[in-house]
Amino acid sequence: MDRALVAELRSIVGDRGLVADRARLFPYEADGLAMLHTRPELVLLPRDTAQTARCMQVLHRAGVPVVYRGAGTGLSGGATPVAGGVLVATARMRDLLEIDAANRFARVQAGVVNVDLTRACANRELFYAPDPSSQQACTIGGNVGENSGGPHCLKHGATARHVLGLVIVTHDGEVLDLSEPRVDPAGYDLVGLFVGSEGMFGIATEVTVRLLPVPEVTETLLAIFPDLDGACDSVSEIIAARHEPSALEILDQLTIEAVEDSIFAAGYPRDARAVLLVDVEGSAPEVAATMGAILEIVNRRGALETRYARSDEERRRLWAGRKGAFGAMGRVAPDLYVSDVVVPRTRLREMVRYSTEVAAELGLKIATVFHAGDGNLHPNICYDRRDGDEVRRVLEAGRRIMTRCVEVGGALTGEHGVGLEKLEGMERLFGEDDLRAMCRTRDAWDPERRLNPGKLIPTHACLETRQALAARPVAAAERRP
Amino acid sequence: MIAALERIAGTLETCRPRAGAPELPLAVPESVEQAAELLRLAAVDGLTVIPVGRGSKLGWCGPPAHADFMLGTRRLAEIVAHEPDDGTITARAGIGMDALREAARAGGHFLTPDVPRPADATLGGVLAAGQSGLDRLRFGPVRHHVLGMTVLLGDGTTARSGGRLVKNVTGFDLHRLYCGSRGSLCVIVEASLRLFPEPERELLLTTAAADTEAAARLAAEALALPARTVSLIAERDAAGWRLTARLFGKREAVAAEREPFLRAWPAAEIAADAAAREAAERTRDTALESAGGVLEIGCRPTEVWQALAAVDEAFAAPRVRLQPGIALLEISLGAADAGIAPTCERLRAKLATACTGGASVRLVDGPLHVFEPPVPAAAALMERLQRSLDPRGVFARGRLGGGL
Repeated sequence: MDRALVAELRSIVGDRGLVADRARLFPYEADGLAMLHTRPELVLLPRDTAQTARCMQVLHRAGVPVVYRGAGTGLSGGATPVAGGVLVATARMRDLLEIDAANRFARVQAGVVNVDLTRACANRELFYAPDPSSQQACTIGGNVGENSGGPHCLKHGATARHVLGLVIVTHDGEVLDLSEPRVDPAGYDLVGLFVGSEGMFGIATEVTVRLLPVPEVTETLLAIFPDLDGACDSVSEIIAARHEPSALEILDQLTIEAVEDSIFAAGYPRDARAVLLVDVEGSAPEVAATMGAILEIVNRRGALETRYARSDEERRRLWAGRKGAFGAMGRVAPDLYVSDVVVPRTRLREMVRYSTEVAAELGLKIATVFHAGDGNLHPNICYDRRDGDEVRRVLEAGRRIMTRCVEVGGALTGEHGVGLEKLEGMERLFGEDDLRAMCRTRDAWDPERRLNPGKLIPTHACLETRQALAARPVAAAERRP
Repeated sequence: MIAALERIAGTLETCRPRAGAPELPLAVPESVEQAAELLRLAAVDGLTVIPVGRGSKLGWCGPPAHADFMLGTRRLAEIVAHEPDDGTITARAGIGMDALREAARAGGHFLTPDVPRPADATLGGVLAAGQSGLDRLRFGPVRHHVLGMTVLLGDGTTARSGGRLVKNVTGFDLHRLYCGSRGSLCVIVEASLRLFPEPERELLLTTAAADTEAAARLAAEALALPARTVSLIAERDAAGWRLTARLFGKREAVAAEREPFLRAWPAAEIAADAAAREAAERTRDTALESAGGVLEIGCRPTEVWQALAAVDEAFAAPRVRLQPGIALLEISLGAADAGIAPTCERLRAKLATACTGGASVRLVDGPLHVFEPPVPAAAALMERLQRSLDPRGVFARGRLGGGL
């Protein structure tokens, strides 16, 4: 990268805010989708909105592609750097700016870690609802980029329902301050549109989020099943019976074994083929009634045993096992391909069975742990990236599972985003005109297409985009066919 | 133009884009294909279009800079997919909110938003207006429950976003952009919504308050309860203050919420189940009848009573409805308040002092269009979005405010 450009950027963010040497760039080469990696030219770690805006002005003048990164826990390659580009990371934007308990909102810098926000609110009897499994590491800004979910989004909704305002630095370094919560947006809902835009509309530097009161009572149930079918059917029936638990999560036997062998050991029975973890929140009578109805369903669907968490500590342990499941898989194989698809909740059993069959046919080891209540499946394939043939089979399995999901009325991703991983699938789900509308929307935010180029929208699917690419200079990643 | 429109959509009707504005031809296509053909005609012939459902919210928009014809969606009214066991429903935009609500109810579900006079409103109109219901305290704004949309852009192409799933992050959520865009970007032709369980029990509690201070205290006490209150309304008219709280849900939940509410509101009258629903729907449908429009003021919840004080300093508001939990004040204006625009400016100045977090002011259904201007950088971006999605300017400009 041009030395004068680097010097100018260094003058803005200081030595601590710039990473340029090869060894220190290594951790930034990939996000959670480790099989895709590219070394960025430079990593910038601005301290605040003002520094970010000045950096973006410089990068705009220089025409350099920019990729936004939170903690890099994303699993779809959304934060994979672009060759010749700069990574803007939020690791130094970690201030909790305001907690307004009376109005139930918080303003934070984008690099604040998800779980730190809830910890900071705990003494006010409030919490931040979206709770991705990676919440110990992932950032609020990253959650905004991906519209992240989590187990308790079944009741409370994903990130988009909790973001009240944003400060956005645009492609050319302008600051768009939409941080004040409003009953309804003035004009178009830019905040709602921005959430889930995977870093292609701008850089969120501050986020205003809604806080919820801690529920009066939370009850946790663990139901142990002799097979996955019974667990899946229980979930479909709970939803069809109009019950509203706050979380419904399923883990299969391979996942249970991995968790129990790890530091996340939760006390799940090792011989269970599947467990269903249920949380119900509300007033004591409501929780008792809902739990009673759920208990009756899981027993009828063949649960071998059911256990209630008898204390907060036991509840915490059960959930730590669920949230640590992905990490625990490291004991099964060196690498894990975390698939993320979503289907109507009436099709759970069918899709879980199909995933298992595909893995068996391709000789792969699959561990299933998922947000069953939302229909959000995570068939996780264990593999070794050093084995080229196995990588090929893993990608083939992912493609087949994704295709079947679309065929049964599902979608490509429930919470991890499209990124690079699911680019190809976008044309399976959307038509050319659908993608063109997305291209046009993106062009209004970033006419040069320098922000996270090559992600989410398959550019060759869009005739208008092809013509535009021929007519003007664009980021390197998008010139490729 | 008339002949060309009639060739596509049959006999034309007429419609005014706002009360008092000249009538325009109204084409009411029977299919999405016909609607697309009308838009293609508009794009080729340089015509300007205003989409409309049943027309109940045309007064929410300003006068168009120019318009040649209106495109009505009310014949696109079928339910496309209803999956009660998955809690989702997909329907064409012209379906009445009453019919959609009944379909949801038949499947054991409650449909949010609970909008006033649902028989006068279409799904597409509600979404285009970004109209949330009085159930917003419990369920949040309407935009949170739209799972996906199909729209027609100005060149007649069909564009989908989202889907029919309760959880889905595939592609940009363009339906969030279309929601509240008031026909300035597209014609909404189909949408999918998330449904909620039909309540087993329902209660409506009503209590009077001697003065504003008492009303504020009663509202604060109700909001402090650990209840999932559906709506909390404080209304003020010539007879004084009246507060209404709606509770519904599972039998056990409502029973548990009832006693603490009665301790907070000891003088409350209670209606239950069918009577509660009828009373709540009456309040919903009649509370804001006005001859001169409704002034809507939004602010932080803790500052809603200061905002009311600012209103009272600015002018004599005849009827006021507050939703303290979501910090929304609605002021019904009489016919004599036609010259409200200068008052709005005075009010903005007073609110800027009274509310540390700022406040928004807009007038709907009034003789003038008073809108909340976006921050300047956002306004420029909104114009780019409009130009990008509707480069030929097929959809009438100026109706959303600020040139949009």
